[in-house]
Amino acid sequence: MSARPAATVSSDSLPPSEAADASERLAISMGLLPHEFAAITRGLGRLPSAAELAVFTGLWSEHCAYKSTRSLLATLPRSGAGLLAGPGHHAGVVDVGEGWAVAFKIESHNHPSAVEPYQGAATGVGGILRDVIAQGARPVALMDFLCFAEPDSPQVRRLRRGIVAGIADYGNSVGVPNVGGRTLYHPGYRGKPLVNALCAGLIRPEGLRVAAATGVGNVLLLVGAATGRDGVLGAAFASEVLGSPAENQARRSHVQVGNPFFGKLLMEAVLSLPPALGPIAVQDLGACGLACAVFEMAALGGVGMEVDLDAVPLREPDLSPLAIFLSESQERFALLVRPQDRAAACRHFEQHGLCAAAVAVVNDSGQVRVRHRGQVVMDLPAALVSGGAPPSRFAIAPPVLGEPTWPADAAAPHAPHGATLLSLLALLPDPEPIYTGFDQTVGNRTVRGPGAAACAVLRLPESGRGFALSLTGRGDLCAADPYLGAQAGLAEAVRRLACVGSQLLAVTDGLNFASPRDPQEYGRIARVIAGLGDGLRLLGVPVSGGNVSLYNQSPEGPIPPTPMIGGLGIVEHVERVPGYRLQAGQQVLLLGAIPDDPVASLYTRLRWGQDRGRPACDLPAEQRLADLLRQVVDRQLASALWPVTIGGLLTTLAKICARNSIGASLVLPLRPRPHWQLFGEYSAQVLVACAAPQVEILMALARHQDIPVHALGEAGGTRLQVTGLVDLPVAELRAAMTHQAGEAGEAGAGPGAAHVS
Amino acid sequence: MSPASQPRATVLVFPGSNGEHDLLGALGRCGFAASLHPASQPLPTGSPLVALPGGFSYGDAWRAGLLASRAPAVQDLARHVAGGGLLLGVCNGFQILVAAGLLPGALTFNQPAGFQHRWVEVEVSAAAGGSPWFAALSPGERLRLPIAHAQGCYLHPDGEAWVQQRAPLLYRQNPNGSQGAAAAMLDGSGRVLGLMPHPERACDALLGSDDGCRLFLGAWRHLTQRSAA
Repeated sequence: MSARPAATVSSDSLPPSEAADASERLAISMGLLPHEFAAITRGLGRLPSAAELAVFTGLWSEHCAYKSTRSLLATLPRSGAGLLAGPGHHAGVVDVGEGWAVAFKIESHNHPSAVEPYQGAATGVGGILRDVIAQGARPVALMDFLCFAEPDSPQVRRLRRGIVAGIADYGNSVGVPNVGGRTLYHPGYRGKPLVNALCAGLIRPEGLRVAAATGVGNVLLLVGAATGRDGVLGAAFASEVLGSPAENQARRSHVQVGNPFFGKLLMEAVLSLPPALGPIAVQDLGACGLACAVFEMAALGGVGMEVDLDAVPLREPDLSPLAIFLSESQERFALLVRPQDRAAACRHFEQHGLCAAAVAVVNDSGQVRVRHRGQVVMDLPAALVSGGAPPSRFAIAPPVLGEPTWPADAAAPHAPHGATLLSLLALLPDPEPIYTGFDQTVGNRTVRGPGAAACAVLRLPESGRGFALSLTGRGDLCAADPYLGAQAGLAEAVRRLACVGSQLLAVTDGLNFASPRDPQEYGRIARVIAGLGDGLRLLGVPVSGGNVSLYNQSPEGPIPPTPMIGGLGIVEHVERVPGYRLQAGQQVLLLGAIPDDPVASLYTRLRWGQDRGRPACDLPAEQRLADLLRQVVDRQLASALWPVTIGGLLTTLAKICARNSIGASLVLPLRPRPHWQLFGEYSAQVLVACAAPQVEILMALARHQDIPVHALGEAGGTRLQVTGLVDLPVAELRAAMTHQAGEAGEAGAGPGAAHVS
Repeated sequence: MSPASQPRATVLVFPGSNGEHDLLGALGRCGFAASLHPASQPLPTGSPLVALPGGFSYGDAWRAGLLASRAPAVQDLARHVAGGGLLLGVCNGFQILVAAGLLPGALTFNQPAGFQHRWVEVEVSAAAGGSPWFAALSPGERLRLPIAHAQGCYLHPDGEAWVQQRAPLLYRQNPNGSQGAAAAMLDGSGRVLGLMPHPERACDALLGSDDGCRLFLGAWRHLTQRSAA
C-alpha cells in the first residue's frame, strides 16, 4: 500500500467534499482540466497532494504527454526497413550500412526562445544533443530551422541575433558541426518565432540504449551538473499561449540556462562509460527534470522506484522538494546501473569533473515514492503519471483554407518580372551570415555543409559511404492548405536528397502549431498530420520520431501550421555528390515540367498579401524525377544540381547566379502566363549545370524515362537574362538578397562579404 | 618502439577540447603513430611531436587558453622543445601556447567580433624558411584551410613589421583583424608552430582540401630524416 504523502495535510482537516473541491480548484489553477483531475483522483483512489498535482501538471502537459496529438500521430507510418528504433525512443535510429546506424531527431524550443532568445536556443541544442546521446549515439551533426516575421524589423533582429548566437555557442563549444538549416520569414510568426534543432548521431546498432528501468535493486544515478532552481515547470509553460512581451519577461524563470562546457564534459563522460558498467537504461533530463526521468523509466519498465531527494547534488541550499524534483537544470542524465557498479560509475563521472549521485533504487511496487528529509512527499503509480493522461477533448472543425479561387487579373503579371524577382529575393535574405557563425567542419565528416549542396552530406568513418540530411517544410504553404502544404515539405525532401544521389529513408517531424483549443486550429493540425501520413505511405517512408509544439501564438494571432521535416538518406559514394557552383560556359538544363497554373507560392503572398491557392505537390512525379537524378549522380553527368524551391524557377536561378557571381543567358518555352512559369512553385523541378557534351546524354536519359527536360541556355557574363522576360545585372540580384546590411555581425560573423574569398 | 618511419606523436586533451580526434586522424594519415594524452598528467617522454587540438578548453573561461596553459602537461612543454621536440597548437591549441608563453604575442577577439567558420587561403611566407613544419612547402605556396574561431586576432607589441617577419602563414584576405594578416606564428627555433586555421581538417580532398597534410608531412620528413641520420 502506498503511504499517504505528508503534504496532503492542509486538506485533511476539511470535510471530504470541501477537500475535493479545494483540491480540484488547485488543480485547475495549475492548468489541469476537470476531466484530468477526475482521472487523477480515480487513478489514485484518493485526493492528490499539492506537490503531486504539480507533478501531474508537468507530466500531463502537452509537451510531455502529447494528449491532443497522440491519436493523430498514431496514424503516421512508424515502421520500415532499416528502422532500428522508431517513435517512443529518445531518437529514431536508421541502419545506414557498413555496421553503422544514424540516430536522429528534431525538437522544438519555441517558447523559451521567444522569451529568452539566447538561452532558449542554446538549451534547445543541448536538449536535442542529449536525446541522441541517450540513444547511445555520438552526435555528429546539427541543423536548425528558424522562423521569424519580417527579415529586418528591430524585433526580429534582436530575436535572431540571440537565437543564432545561442545555437552557435552551444554547438561550437561541444564540437558538433552545424551542417545546414533553414530560415523562413512570414508575418504569421510575429511575436512567436520558431526554433527547432535537429541532431544526428552515429552508433553501432549493438550499442543502442533503452530507457526502461528493470531489475529490482538497480540504482539510478543522477550525473552531470548540480541541480538548481532554473526551468521549474518549463514543460507546462511550453504548453500555454504566450502573452505580450512584457508578460513574457515575467516568464524568464521558466527558461533553463545552458552551459556548453558542462554539456561537452557530460557527453564525453556518458559516451565513454565502460561497457562493463552498463548502463542498463539511460534517460536524458529535459522537460520536468528528474520527475519525468523517474516516472518514464519506471513506467516503461513496469517497475517502481524509491527516490531520495536528499541525495541530489544541489547548486544552492534549501531548494524545496518540488523544485528539486521538477527542476529543468541542464546538462544532466539519469543512468541505471547495477548496485555493485555504483561506486565505479560515480567515480567515472567525478573524474570527468561532473557530479554523480545515487538518487533512486528500483523496486517491484509500480509506485514512485519520493522522500525528502525523512518524509514521503509523494507516492504515485508510475504508469498513471507517465502514460495515464487522458486524451484531450477539444472540438475539431474543418480548417479554413486559403482563398481557393484566383482573381481575374491573376492571368496577367502585376509588375515587370524583374521587379517581382527583386521583391521576392528581398524576402529571402542570404543565410550565409547566419551559418558563418557555426562551426561546419569539426569532426572531419562534413562532405557538404551549409550552402554547398541541396542538403547536408556526411561521411561514415573510414568509408566512401555517407548519409544525407535534409530539412524542409513550409508554414506559408500549410497556411494555404495544411494537407498539401505538409506534402510539399515531403516532396522537397525527396528532391533535395535526390540531388546528392540519395533516397529518403526516414523522417523526423518537428510539428509546430497554434492552440488545439481553437477548433479550426485543431483541424489544421489534423490535416497537416493526415497529409504527412498519406504522403509518407505513398513514398513508403516511416516517421522515426519527432516532436510536437503547440500553443504557438501571440496576441497577434496563431502561427501558420509549420511542419519541419528532417529527412535522412544513404549516400553510397560520397565522391560522386555533384557540386553546387555555376561556372562560365556550363550548360543549364531544367528537369521537370514548366506549367503556368496559379499555385500557392511565395509569389502569391507577395502579390496579394495572403497565402492563397493550393500548393502544387505531385509525389509520384517527384519520385520519378528522384530516380532519374540518382542515375545522373551515379554516372556523374552533372556538375551541379539545384532543387527548384521557394520563389519558383526564376528566383532559384537568381539565387544561384548571385551566390556564384555569374550571369546566364536562358530561353524558356513560353506559355500564356509566363509570370507563373517564373515564380509559381511547382513540384518536381531541378536545375542542372553540366558540360556541353553531357547535354545530349542527359536529355536522352530524361526523355527515355518520360521526364520533361529543357535546355535553358548557358552560364556566363554578368547578367541574368531570360529572353523576353528578364534582364538584370547579377550585382543587383546579390544586393537584393543582402540588403540587410546590419545582418553582418549578427551571427557572430563579421561584415562577411568584404572579407570572404 | 615505433619503426623509424612512423614517429610517435602525442595529442594533448583538455577538458573542453573538441578537435583531438581530427588531429589524431590527420597525424595517423600522415605517417605518425599518434595517441591521445590527458593534459592533467605529466607529458610522456619519447614522443618527438606534441600537438594541442582545437576546442574550448575550460569553456574559454576568463580567456581562451588561459586555464589550459597551467595544465601539468603544458608545464613540461618547454623541456620538450628544448630537447629538440616539435610542438603544434591548432586554434585553441595556438591560444594555449601563446597563453603559456611558448609563442610570442597574444590572441584576442576577432575584428570584426564574433565566431566565424569559413574556408580561407593562406600563403607561406619567407619566415617559414628553416622550420621543420614547412619542410614540404616553399614561400609563396598557398594552402586552402578552414578557420573556426572567435578569438584569433593575433597581436604583438612590436607591431606589424615584426609580425610579418615572423609569421610563416599569412591570410590572403584577413578574416579576423590579425596584425600583418598573420594566420600562424613560429618560435625562434622554428619547431613550435601555432596557427588558427585547421590543417587537421584539410587532410582529405573529399572534405574540401588536403593541403593541411603538407604541414604534417614536413614534420614527418624532419623527424624521420633526423632519426635516420
